[in-house]
Amino acid sequence: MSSETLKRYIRFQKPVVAQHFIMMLSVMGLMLSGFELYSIKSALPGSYLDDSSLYSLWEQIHIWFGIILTLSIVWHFIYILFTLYGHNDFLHILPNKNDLKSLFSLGFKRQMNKKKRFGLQEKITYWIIGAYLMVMIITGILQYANSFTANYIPRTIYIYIDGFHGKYGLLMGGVLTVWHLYSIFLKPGRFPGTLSWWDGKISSAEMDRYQKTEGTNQDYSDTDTGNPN
Amino acid sequence: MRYNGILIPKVTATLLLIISGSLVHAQVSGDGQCAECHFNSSLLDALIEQPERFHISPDFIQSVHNDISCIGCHADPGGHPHPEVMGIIQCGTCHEEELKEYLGSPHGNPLTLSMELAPKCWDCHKLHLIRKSSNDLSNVHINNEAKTCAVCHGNEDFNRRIITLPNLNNEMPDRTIKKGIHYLNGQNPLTCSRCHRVHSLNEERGKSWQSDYSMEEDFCGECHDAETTSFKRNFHFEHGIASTNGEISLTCSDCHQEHLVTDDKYQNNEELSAGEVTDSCIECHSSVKISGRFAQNIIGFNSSIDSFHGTSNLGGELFFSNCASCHGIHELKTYTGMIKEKKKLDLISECGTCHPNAASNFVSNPVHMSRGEDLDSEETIAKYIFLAIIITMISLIMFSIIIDFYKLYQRRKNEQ
Repeated sequence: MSSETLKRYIRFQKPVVAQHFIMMLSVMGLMLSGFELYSIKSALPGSYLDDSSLYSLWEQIHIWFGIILTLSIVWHFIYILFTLYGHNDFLHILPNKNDLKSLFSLGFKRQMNKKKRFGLQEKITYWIIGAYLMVMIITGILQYANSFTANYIPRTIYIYIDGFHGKYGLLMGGVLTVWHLYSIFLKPGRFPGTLSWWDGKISSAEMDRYQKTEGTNQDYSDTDTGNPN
Repeated sequence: MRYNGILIPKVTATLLLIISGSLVHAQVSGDGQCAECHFNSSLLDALIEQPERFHISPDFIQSVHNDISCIGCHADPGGHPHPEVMGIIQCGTCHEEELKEYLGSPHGNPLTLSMELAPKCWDCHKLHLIRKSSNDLSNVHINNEAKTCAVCHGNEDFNRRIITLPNLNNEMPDRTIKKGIHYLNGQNPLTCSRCHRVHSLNEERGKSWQSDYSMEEDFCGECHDAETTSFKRNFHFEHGIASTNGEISLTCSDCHQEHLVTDDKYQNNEELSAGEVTDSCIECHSSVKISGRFAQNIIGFNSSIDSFHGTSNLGGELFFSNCASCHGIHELKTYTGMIKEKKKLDLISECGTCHPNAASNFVSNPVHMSRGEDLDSEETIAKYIFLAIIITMISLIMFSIIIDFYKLYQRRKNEQ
């Protein structure tokens, strides 16, 4: 194997990798504990007493993973606002007209995607998952402080809060996770996936595949990412 | 005159002594004939089979009946040796009232128990060595009573064979009662006879613990007046609502238990009490049949799980709200059928006990989360919106995957 093929290019800065890693672990913990809480609550009447300590344990786990997730998102906001890399990355991931055109053409017109750091699907993933997590955090806090918030929030809104932070939210999270994993590991042109989530780098082979798939050359200089390491 | 003044009383006293001494001698000598054999175990061993049945301990002198001769209870044998069968002892000859009560009780009623199996007087009082109930050596002394009853009622096998009453379980009254607050805390503890009476077992009024739910309230109310007065006004009692087995309405023992009335439930231990109260109510109110019949608004009620309060319970909150927080402990206040505005004000007041800022918006949230209940219109709309979002998400993802694979197909086709 030549040294050229072993070259790895920085795709994400380390803080981004760390934020993603913390977010990934906390979401896994939240989904698992949320599923356990839902399972116990769905148990038949009469069987719950045996599960009372278990429920309490999962509830605590859920709360602490929620706190970790919230802190990682706060870090992400600070990173976007106060660092050059973060700010530039954020500008790159903002949707633009080309994305809209690409969306309508279903990504078949390659020439539209001239200079870009993030593909359309990456942008959609970022914004949908970001919005989902924000709603989950807000509804979770509202539920946690329910004895206070119930005074000010109408019952109709509470139905949506309960639904979103309950079984429907869990189901949506499951669907988004499957889609995200597909995009990273199974999507044609990306299979068998990348290790960029681990070290923030991609190989030259991945770079070629990525460029072929996206149909454009990336501008490495604009964010100081993508340069050979 | 001086001698006569002293002599006459002395002579009179001597004569009286001689006469009474002769009478005592006559009785003792009469019983003495019985005692010759029945106090002598070795002689009985030689004379008859099962000598232990007929042996009388010398402790008989301590019996309350020690001043009654043998033939006071037993038939006169007419000589010695006497016939083997001397007839059944009839305690009722002297104890008429007790006999009457006994014959009316489940113990003495041949419809309940055959005479062969029915407990006789001596099963509780012993055969010859009958001590006063105030004597702590007596089988029926307040400290020994539970143990005496437990000879039969604490015997699981016996209970299963003999007692066919559906609600009488095989619990050990001796063990359970002695753990109870009524036994531990009182100078005059409540044991079996305090509730069940001594001989009548509470059947003298034509009532039974098993069939008449008002008995418990009457009995407990003798001491717990305020609680009973409050309880008798409650919805369950007034309407004679039957419990799950359809026989007895809600009574004191449904929550406090019959024999194990402990102070760690509902009273001193807040940690246990909240959960236990909810648990007791849910025994009936989780039943669709029961709650659907009597309280249509809590069909398939399972508040312990689905409500915020119930979830707090599971989450380990020690002072979470339970059924009694809003409905009261004994009065069991009902909100069903209440005028809407009054109900709202009452609820604001009740919720305000723990949530000082509770306002009308606060109490508009559902209190009881029902399992299997039809969703109201708002919940139904929310459900369909969520389902639409999820179905749309899945459809778009499936569509994007199809597009991805179509692109792959196109690319490979172009490469060829």
